[in-house]
Amino acid sequence: MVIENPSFSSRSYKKTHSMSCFSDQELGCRSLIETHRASPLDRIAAGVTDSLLILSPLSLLMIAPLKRNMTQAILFEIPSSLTQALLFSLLILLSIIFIYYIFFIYIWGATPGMKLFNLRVVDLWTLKPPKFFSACTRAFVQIFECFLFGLPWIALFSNPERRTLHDLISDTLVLSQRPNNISSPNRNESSLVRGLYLAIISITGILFFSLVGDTLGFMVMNDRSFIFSDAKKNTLLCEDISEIAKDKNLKNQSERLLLAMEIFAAGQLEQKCLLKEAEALFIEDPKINSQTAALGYLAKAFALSEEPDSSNEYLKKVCETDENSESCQMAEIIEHWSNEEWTEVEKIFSQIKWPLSRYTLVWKVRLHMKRAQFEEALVAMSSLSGVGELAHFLIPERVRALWRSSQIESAQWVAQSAYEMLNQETKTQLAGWMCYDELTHTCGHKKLSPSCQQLEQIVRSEDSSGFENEPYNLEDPYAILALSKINESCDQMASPQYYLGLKKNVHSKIYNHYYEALAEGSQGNLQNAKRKLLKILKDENTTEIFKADILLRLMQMSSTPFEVQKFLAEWRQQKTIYQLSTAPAVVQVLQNRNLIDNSIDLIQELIKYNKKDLFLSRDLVVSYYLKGWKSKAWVYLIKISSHLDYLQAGEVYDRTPAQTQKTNQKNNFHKIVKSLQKEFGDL
Amino acid sequence: MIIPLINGWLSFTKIPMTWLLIFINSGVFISSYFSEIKFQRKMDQILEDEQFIFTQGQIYSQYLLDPNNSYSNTLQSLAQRAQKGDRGKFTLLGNLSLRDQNFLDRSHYLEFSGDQVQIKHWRSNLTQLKNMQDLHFSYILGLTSNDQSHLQQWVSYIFVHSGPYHFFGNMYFLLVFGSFLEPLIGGLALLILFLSTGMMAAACFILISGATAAPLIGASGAISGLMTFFTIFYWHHPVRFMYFILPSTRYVGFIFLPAWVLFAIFFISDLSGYLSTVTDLGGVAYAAHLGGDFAAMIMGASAFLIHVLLRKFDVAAFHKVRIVEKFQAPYPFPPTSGVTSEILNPSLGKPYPLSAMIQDRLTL
Repeated sequence: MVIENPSFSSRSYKKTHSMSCFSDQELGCRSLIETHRASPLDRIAAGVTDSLLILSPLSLLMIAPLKRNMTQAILFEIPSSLTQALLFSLLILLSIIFIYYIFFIYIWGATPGMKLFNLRVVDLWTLKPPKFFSACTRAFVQIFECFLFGLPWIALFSNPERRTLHDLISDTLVLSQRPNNISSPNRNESSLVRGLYLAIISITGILFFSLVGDTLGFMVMNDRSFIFSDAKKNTLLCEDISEIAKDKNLKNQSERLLLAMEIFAAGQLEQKCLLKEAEALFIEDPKINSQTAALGYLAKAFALSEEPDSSNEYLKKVCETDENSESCQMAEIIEHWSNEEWTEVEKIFSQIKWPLSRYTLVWKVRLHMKRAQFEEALVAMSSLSGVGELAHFLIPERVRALWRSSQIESAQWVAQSAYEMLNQETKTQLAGWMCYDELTHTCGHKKLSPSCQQLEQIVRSEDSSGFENEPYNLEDPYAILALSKINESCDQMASPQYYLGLKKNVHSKIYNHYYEALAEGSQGNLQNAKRKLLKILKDENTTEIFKADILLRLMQMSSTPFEVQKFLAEWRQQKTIYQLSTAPAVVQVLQNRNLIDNSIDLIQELIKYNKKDLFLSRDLVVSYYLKGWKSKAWVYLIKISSHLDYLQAGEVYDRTPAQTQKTNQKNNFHKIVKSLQKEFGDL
Repeated sequence: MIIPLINGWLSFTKIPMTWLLIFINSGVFISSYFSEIKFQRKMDQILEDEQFIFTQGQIYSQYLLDPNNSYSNTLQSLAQRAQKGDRGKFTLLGNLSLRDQNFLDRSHYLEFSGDQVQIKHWRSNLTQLKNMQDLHFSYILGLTSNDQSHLQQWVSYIFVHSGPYHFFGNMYFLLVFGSFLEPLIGGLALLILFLSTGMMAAACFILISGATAAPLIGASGAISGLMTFFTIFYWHHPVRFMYFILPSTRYVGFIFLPAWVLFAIFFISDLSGYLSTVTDLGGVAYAAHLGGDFAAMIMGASAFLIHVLLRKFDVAAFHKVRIVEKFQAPYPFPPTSGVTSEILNPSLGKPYPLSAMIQDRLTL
């Protein structure tokens, strides 16, 4: 039958379409479908209207209590409740969509959205409203399409009858109430959609598998649903400490805090980590005793050291809480420490009752190292031996203390073992320090220094960065200084290419300028080099050791004794610990410039700090000899006689630079020793 | 997207009370907003301080778990979880405690265990915060649980807004519903309705949320009341909406829908918002909206009942208001092209006896 004017008010529609569209009416049906085909945009608009105006508010209302349950489940971290609420919500949502479509399509032949846009759903064969089963099938497939992110709806633009998957499966058709001459998709439109399908399916497939893989991996690794993973990040405790505490089986929060304080004192723990542990102490046990509370306040004072007001307030609170505790004494130490009142600090340390806490011992080690009391530092370190978590602090410090207290072989042996067990960063720091010290003390003789070889190995190693052509990024000042000295001898600089080649290993501007200045100096542009070095010297970001080294370089580049003395005066204002690193090289400059009185004066002052300093004693022998005080030189030569081979080995190769050969011949330690032995007898 | 539109271009003489309310709101907003900014900045500095909120959370957790205080299981479990070592929960509790007037009042003299230096700092910051609140417009005019005795705040809170978005949003809807209601019920009736539903919304807020230190501000409760009264009493009245379905001229336009659709949209949104919120964690704004809705529903239903009775028994009064029945919608009926008019309200253009009746009674 032919429908000329299909008025789609549902009742008349049912009457007019009471007959089948098969057989003799087929042409008429075809004509109706051709002229009343629904516009794809109308269908999309109807879908949007249904979803936003009716389904969304209805669904939100129905699942509102479950949403509240979900919030509570996330808040209280109850995965089972969350899963339950999620499942129920999904079930309710699906039920609402299912019932909505079945109800309106079966009863009205259209949803409210469709009605708004004059659309009707009809059975493909009869052009009557779909039967109940068809409506159910259609609703079911529509839900399935939702799970595919509505991708099958693209068929509206490719199917000849503009039917989507749910139309095809349920044998239904969407027609417009009015003739609107919507044609079948043309060839280009269909091809475009097919291409789009393929692209979407491919991209979705790739994304799906990679995401599923990642998510599963993540869930397996974290052992819990990822929804709750944030809770772990919010924990009150520091994860670094938790790992060590687990190994040590520490359960008490005050034990954990002591551990955190000793690692913090060793410079191996971040401030925020210590702060977390201190906060946890007060939270987990609100009724802590005064001694533990004092420890907590002390920890907070350390952790807030960048906020002086808060830190000082906590330091005061320590002694207010328990004035007889070790924490109170430590608080007093810290106060004096910040004012550099070292006598007071040493006095309080001596008053603390044994056994000292490990964190106090670490501070003691730091004090002795800072004050160049290397023997005492070694004693304090011996009390801490076997503490695994402090290895990265103790081993390098032990090497430094041994080296400074003239236990050369032991220092080198410990350093050699350390290189096998320390991490890359600590290894670089230790190798840098050791190499720099050995080079300044043995006048640039790198063959004597296994640490220099180690440093070169770190910098040039393919393993260091993983890429052969990617340079190792150096940040440690000692390592940077050591590298500049590796190819130098006493007064002979390396080639400009060597210094410029080193630039690739550093990112900091200061270090770059330093290498550039050295390159200029090695080319003979001493004025330019000095200007650049002075500029770095004035930079507030320049580290102390760098300042000491730059002043040494400036002394070496100075043309007159007056200029040398000017830079020497500035160099002597540097901290003792940095003076000790560069002192032998400075003495060498003074001896070469015949400033013997200055060199004797300098060594005598420095040797007060470290009476056993082998290299200062050696330089004193040379200075005394050059001054003509041979008996004094002989006394000091006896003191260092046990290390004579080591000291002389450095001399053979390096104390003969081309530029000042004449002077060096005179200064040669090897010859001086022989001369003294001839005069005073064998050692 | 679908939003109701104002009932035509409105002159001051046509809806004087609505404009007056908007002017008062604007005046209060302009005078308060700029002076508030400096206090708000200082308050934000304290409130955004992670350490302050964290400490407050720690202290509040002790307060919640004190057997002398009775609190909901939700809050107590939250406190217990926080004390087991969850930093995020302390921060959450810290924020929640800002609403607890009892806690804030008592925290000044109660002793708390823990880091006393931190607690001292917290007390000092809290005092600063309170001093600033005393000068803050939202706290002076807004309704807080500790100021329930100040009767003027039950009204003044309606005229305070937290920011431009809050203000302009509320004023738009006041204009929309005022433009529909005022010509029908008159200015005085609108004012009474506006204030009474606003007060009822506040009562509902206090009743549901309990004692809270966060001030209730904004006209949304009162406007919800206007909307509900209009949509209940004039459920069949056509309201012009603007719709946007797809970015094409065919799917963007205007449509007339019966007033009850508005009620359905707003009420469902408020109700689902209220039901989905954990009571202890907020959701009072929805409660205030619903309070306004319920008050207006009662008033609307009562007026409707009165009207039905009058219509039945008082013929004279019914005839008296015929003049007002001539009121017509300012727009022509919606075009039938484009979107179908099939589901549009069939009662367009019909007389408005109910409105006329109410206007007659209330303005007399």
